[in-house]
Amino acid sequence: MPATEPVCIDVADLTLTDCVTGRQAALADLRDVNVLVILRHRH
Amino acid sequence: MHQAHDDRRVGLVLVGFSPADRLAALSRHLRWPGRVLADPDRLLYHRLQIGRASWWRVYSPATLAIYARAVGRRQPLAKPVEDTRQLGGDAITVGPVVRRLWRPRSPDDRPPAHQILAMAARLADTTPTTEPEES
Repeated sequence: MPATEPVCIDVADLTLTDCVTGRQAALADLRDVNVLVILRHRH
Repeated sequence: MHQAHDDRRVGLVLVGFSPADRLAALSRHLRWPGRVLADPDRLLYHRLQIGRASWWRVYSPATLAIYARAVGRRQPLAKPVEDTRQLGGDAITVGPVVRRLWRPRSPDDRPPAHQILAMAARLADTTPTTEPEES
């Protein structure tokens, strides 16, 4: 199991795509506390 | 993850590098309650330095056996259109800043959901909630 790393990584400049609306989603708009579940490749 | 999630102060965001329509279908299948974001250029993956698995970790004997059985049953195999070695990860953000990060060493090396959610709750305890903007 990976150990948690306390980090300070600003992602406010990144823009991804909202899969429901198809619109761009700026991570600068993230508010409060969020858990990001980042998917790996799935067979 | 989302089955264990019951803290309204903590949002859930699913991020993948597949095309947006595939991720949308996956989120419907999972009944994912939060946002789903596509990162086909792997901008976030690179920023968080989430690595790639070794060949032998991705194509383990068990995985190869699954493919062999599929070939034996004459099932069509989908040609991968993505980086099959790309690993995932888990992170907690406060605003747009990542404050906790779990980087796996292999495809199945992920922390339990309750551990991530407990850490997120602790961060929420010390984070003032943003009031919605008036329109």
